[in-house]
Amino acid sequence: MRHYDWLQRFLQMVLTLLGITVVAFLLREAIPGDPVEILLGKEGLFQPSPEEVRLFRTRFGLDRPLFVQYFRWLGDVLRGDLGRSFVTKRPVAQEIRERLPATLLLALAGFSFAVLIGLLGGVFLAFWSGSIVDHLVRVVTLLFRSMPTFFVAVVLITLLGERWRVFPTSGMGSWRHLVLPAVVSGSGFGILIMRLLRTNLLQVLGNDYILAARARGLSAWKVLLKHAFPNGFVSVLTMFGLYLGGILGGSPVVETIFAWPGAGRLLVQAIYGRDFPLLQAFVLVFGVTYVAMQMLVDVCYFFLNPQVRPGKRIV
Amino acid sequence: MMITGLVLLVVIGGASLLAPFLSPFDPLEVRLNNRFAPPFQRPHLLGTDALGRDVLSRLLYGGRLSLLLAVLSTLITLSVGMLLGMLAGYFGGWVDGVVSFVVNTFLGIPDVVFTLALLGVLRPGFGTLLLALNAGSWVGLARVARGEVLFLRESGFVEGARAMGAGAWYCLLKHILPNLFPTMGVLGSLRFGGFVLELAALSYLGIGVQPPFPDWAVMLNDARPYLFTHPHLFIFPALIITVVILGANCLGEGLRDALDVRFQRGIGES
Amino acid sequence: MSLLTVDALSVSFRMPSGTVKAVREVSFAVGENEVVGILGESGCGKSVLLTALVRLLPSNALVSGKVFLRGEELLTLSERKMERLRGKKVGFVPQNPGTSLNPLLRIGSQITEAISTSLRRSHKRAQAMVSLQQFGFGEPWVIFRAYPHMLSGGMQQRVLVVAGIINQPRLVMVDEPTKGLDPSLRARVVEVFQEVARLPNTALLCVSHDYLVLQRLAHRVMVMYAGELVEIGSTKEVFHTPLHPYTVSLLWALPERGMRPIPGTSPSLSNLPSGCSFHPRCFQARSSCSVDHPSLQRISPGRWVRCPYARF
Repeated sequence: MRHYDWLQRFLQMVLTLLGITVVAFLLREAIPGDPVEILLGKEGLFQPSPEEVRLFRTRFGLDRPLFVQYFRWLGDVLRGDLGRSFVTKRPVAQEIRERLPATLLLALAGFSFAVLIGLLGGVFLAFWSGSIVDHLVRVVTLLFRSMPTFFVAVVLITLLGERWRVFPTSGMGSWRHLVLPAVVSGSGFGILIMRLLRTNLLQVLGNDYILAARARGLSAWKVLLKHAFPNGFVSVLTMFGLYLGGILGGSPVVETIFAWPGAGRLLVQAIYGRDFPLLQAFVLVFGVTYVAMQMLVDVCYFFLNPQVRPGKRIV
Repeated sequence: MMITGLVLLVVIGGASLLAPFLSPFDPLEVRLNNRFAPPFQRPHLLGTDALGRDVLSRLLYGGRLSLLLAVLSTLITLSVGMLLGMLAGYFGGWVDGVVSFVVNTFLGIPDVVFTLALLGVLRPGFGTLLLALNAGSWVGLARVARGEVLFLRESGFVEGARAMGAGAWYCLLKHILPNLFPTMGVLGSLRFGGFVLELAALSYLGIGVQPPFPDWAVMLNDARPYLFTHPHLFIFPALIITVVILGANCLGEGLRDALDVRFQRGIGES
Repeated sequence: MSLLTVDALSVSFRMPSGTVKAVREVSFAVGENEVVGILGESGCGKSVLLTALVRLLPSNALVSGKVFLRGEELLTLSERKMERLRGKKVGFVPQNPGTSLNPLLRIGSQITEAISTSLRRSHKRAQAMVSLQQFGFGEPWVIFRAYPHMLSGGMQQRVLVVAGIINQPRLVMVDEPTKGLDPSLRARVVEVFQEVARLPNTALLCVSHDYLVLQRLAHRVMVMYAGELVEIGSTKEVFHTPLHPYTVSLLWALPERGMRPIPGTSPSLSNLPSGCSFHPRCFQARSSCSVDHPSLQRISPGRWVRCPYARF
């Protein structure tokens, strides 16, 4: 029984990945104008003759039916060839490979920050639920969530970066450079985690086994940490995949503001420069990363929840 | 809570709509001899910017494009999401299979990336922005709608209607659709806030609404170099954006709380 | 001095719809080694009573009265001191065994965490195994490492019993032992708790709606209705010669005695009837019953009834 579940999950993931590649490929069809003319224009040939256009088309296989082109393209992709950037003329794969580690570092840092304040805050708020602190925090977080990322970023930069000169505000260098971007990147989700955990904890605390544990003599803190937290955390965990993806998605803005040399910033530049191969590659890379992260979360969930694992019934 | 949100939104929406009547100056009029006028002084109540343009007028006009885009996007997203969700949930079978497959695929791409990619590919303009914003956002809604429809389909009154011979479309329109409204209302409000946020971020980066249109986020971008010398140029637009999103969030959260209570009371005292 | 003395205990809950009086001026005592049962239908306040004794009521509860455990007043103890009593001097076996065990933690962990002495982990484990064996688990090490969902309902309950008595408490409170379990298991359940009662120096306070369980298990029985005690006596006395109309009606409602249901429904605890709480459903109600609220009257030593017209 269990094996079927896993097979189904795996198949679904493969299908999703395939779907992503199709979407990325079809992006080309969205470009206004004749792609051939655009490509030729990039090569420096403006107003080509019909003969040149035809030659070009055949040379690059653009006269073949669409799905043949798709498979050729897919083959290229799987071999690591993602085309060349229109702007820099360098292989796209290389461009992305150079920038991706920086983005992943930032994403990880932001995620860690989010998890840290989320978990701590969630436990705290659950313990003091109903008190003035709880209400105050709720109002503050609502305000915070309504502020655009760049507003928060600018405020932080102004205060911590320039007024008081605590942290550097652009570029990548020491660990200090990581702080502000990570905070901006992760704070949104940190607050979400905090609220979700608080709600889940409060719900869990209403369960029978909590009462049973306290009746056994466990202190309130011990019950919160040993019994309530794991159960509340599990539902938060299922959202982690979403959060990771969101942090990744927020990287263009954060990286641009902080001049962080990551892939997100490259994406924004690609939009300015209308660098199509780069854009296409981004859809692919981000999509695949996202799916991989979801899968990772699923695996973690499997390990943490004994009810999902196969177990014999003891009679 | 909900009322606060509604009030905020209505006020700002109304002000934006009535901008031509309310605004004291032409938002685009450049007056280089009156640059950086400080706020809280007549005649420019909120001061002027680097090109001498009246800030208040620009604020009043600033929301028109973004709010319009956000409202349209919300409507489109809701419609498409609900429609697909209803089709998938109600008819099941291969319809569900196809829709679910598409949904799952799109869920695999963080919609921000998709939005940006489309923006980079298509020519800049109103239509592009509209398409880009919506391309990925209907997905989540469709999934929720589908779940709700599945649940509703099994509920008593739908079965009753079918037993009386009602056709599929009748059931969908008269029974299921109205019951989707509450949840969709909540999600729609929150999504509206999300759209405003997204659009602001894009405009701030320069890939959304383009200057010289007096959009709020564009004003923010313009104000960047003068952050220390003339902070009011940055603060006012930022505040307005925050208030709009706050309004949307309050509305959405308030609706959600109200719905919860309704459900709880329905179950009865235990 | 008895082990447990409860003096005019009242519990109300502050709800948005008003104040709900769940327990009203309940007084009784439990002696060492005694098994006392509280019989009542769902919603009469008996579970609230138990939970109040260990001070684990939700925050909107208002408690008044006094509770003495061997002379020590419980309701005014600090929370820390209370934690030292729970699970150690006072054991608790909760209802609904299916949901009273944390599904994410192993059984063994949930038993050893109750052990109060500061022993090494291996010693605590050994102690748990011995207890498990004592309560009918042939292969305790399997149970120890298992998760709750792998066990049947009856086994889950026995695990909860083990966790409740592992520190050899003087008083064990049992909440609805047959609730949440298959009725065919009733005999087994009774056996388990008889085993508990046989433990040296162990008194039991057992709350149940199941009259058969209390008949086999308890020495004394107290009948509860709408938050009040309406009849007290030895098991034999109460079940063979019931005095309060409610007790009489309860017994008439049993399948083996005619299965005549009690007319009407249990009163809402936020809107209690005037006078005697049972009068709207009583087969021998007089006009004065709707006016005067009767108090508990002593018929003979240990025999009390809350009805002026109880038959003798």
